[in-house]
Amino acid sequence: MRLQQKLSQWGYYNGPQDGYYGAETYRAVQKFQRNNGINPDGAAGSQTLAAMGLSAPAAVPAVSRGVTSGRDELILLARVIEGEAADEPFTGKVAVGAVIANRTKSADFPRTISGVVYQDYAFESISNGQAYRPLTQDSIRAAEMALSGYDPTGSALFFWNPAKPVNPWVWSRSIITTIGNHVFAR
Amino acid sequence: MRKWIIPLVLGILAIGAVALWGNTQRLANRNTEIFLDNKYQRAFFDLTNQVQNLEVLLSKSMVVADPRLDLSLLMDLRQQAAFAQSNLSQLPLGDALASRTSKFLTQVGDYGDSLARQVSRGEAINKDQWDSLNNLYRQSVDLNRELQGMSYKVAQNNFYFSELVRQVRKNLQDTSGNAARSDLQTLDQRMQSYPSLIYDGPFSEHLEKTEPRALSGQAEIDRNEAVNRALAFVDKNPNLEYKAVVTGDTNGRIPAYRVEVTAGEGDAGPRTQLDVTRQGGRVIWMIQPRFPGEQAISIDEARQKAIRFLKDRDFGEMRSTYYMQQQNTVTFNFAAVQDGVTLYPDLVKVTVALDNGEVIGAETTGYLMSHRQRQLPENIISQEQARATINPRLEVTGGGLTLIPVGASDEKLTYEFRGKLGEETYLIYINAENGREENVLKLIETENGTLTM
Repeated sequence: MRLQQKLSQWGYYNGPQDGYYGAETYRAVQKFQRNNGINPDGAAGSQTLAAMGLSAPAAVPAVSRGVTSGRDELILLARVIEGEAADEPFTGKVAVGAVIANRTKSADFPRTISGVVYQDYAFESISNGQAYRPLTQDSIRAAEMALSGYDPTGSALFFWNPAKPVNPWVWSRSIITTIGNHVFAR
Repeated sequence: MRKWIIPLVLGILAIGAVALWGNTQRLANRNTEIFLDNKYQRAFFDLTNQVQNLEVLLSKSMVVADPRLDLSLLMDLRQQAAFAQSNLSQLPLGDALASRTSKFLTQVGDYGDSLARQVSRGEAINKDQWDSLNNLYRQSVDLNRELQGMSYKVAQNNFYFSELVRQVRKNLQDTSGNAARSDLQTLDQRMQSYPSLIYDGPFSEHLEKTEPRALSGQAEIDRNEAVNRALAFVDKNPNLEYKAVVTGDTNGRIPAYRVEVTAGEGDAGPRTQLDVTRQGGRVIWMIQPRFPGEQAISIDEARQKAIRFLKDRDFGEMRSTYYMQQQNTVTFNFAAVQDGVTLYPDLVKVTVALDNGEVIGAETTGYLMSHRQRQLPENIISQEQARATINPRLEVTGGGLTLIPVGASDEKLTYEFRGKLGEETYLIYINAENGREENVLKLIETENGTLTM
């Protein structure tokens, strides 16, 4: 994220500052390296980071190690939050993230974040592409909080906006609470 | 005469171009539809196949006698159920439909897993469990029969699923009048009529009814008291005045009052939201939607702050276990401690802003659900005995006593060791009563903190 900040300050990068090391970040790093006489491999190694005035995160071990990070789940969750709750208060954003996290722990739903998010007709913003907007800091922060266990919904599994047309079936669920414009239920 | 011939030719050309464009669009649309329908059909036929496997595996698991064979059948059962579950969730059904079917598949897998663990400990399947298997077997037969009926219709009509999709798009409210939809609804209703299943797995239904143990026997509080409790909980700046008001109710697993706290004059200050339990008046969560500026304090100073915060709020002895740094905030996990033993299920999370050290978030569900005085076993093996059971390839350190959750509702007293293999670090949990390896967690170092998996 700080890398993307620096790069966009210096005009190398104009994508979203979402902390995701994607193709655009890669190209921006390459451009930076060429202009600074560093081997343009597109990887933010210690030499590149030093040239930017950033320190590399700890010493990188030479021995092979795993690459698991959980980063992809976070971005996916942030997308749905952005799509479903962009105009909601911050707590409402965390709440939407918490519903998705709760679903992975419920027998009625798929077990993984991606399974829940891409279940057909589960989330309108995924069906109509609204979720593919650029991410905001708010949504990423809300996704982080939901993944680290914050749940303002009291274990809700459903949410909906009563001002919009919804399947009448949802009203048969037991309602837990209201946050912003959303009703939460299980 | 020449006057109208040019517009006519242009007109015909334009119509031709539009017709060509329209036809290309139609073909593209048709291709997309066929492509999608093929995906749906693949998911459906895979599902049918896997449910057939489930039926066969369940019936076999009722007749085998050798535990080794039983174990492999139960593991297979879990895998087939997971595949079936994944395929079911790819069908265009929405979340209302087929939720009972999904529950069945999850629980078959989960039950298989739970029995496999039992069999691997050398305990045979008892009469009740055998009855449960029989019950699940009959459900799988029913599910199978319905799916086969549907598969006949799918084979008759290539666009079975895309018709379903179109129906859903046209009218989200309409739940009748479509063949596929009503087939699935009948199926789901049939599955509803089976009794619920109780066993030691994360998806067992009795778990949804557990009570918060830390609150048992405590008195109900009223709205005024909820306001007081909220004001006492938030991290206060001595120069500001704080006001709180109850803004609503939460009827979740722990019924609570929703309280909003504002600081300073008017509405300018940050608003903190909290849920305060009706019984006992404890805070379940607190969120202050503030985005801290540049980091000004270290992680260690933030940890000291979090420890003081919990100490001032009657949480007893708590141990900081791990942390995660995210965008100028840091979230610490704390576990309760009893007689020097870390109680991992009794979890509290505290989020500290790294610009001024203010506590801007807290979450106590784990603590409220499970905290109590434990009866810890006294006849335990020594740390050296436990260490001797660890894989000799690991370079071992640590060895503190911890209570860890096992299965869904069970807890085990274990020694916690840190093992290093090359660059990777693992946490190894050895049962303090019998020396069995209960769990292994892998530590994943990221630039923001350590994850366990």
